[in-house]
Amino acid sequence: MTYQTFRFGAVECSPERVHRFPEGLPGLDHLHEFIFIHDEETEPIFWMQSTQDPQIALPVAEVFALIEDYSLDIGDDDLALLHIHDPEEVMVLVVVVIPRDVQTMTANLAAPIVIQRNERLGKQIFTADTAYSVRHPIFEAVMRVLEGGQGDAGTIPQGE
Amino acid sequence: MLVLSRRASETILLGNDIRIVILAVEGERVRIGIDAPRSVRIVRNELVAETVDLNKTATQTPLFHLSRKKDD
Repeated sequence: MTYQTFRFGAVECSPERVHRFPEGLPGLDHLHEFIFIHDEETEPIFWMQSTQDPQIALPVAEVFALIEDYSLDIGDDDLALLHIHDPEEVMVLVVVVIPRDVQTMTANLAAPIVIQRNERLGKQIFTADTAYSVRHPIFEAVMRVLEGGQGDAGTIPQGE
Repeated sequence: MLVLSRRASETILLGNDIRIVILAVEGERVRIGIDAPRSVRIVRNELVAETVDLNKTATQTPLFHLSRKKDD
């Protein structure tokens, strides 16, 4: 299947790789399907591209690649919504805001995106934990991943 | 909206299984303890508004690239 995108042009992606967000995303509630696009220029940050709106793509990163001791409590209703039975099925992403000065990039650690990989279901959830910032600086962590110093960015599934 | 006055250490019960305890009042800050079943989602309202803003900002990301160590 070919998807038209504003940022990447025409992107080929099999329909089995479309991720469904039953509740949309906060502020983008009408968008329910996204594909992940990996761009060498921006790794370990990659993209959640709407299949419904070519204009909409959000930069995201795997939180555990950047912040190893991140922790998250997923409520029972969200576990049920996302059909999560096993932590191994879960991928946790954070939305990254990248201003023109990339060194000031931040990630929203307080509202991570939880993905159930096997069934490709997703939801952005709000943590009750006040320890995490909505604008957590991540440039240095991104650079560490790029330099291969730590993190497991290499395990991001390509083209998923 | 029901409006109640409470002092520190006083408690409000919502239904049978939610307890809200006023732990401390320090100037403009109120510390609140909440006992509720795991199925009850507790969210700070401003987090929702900030996340809406940040998601929308993220969709406007300018072109960028990250320099990385390459073989070539």
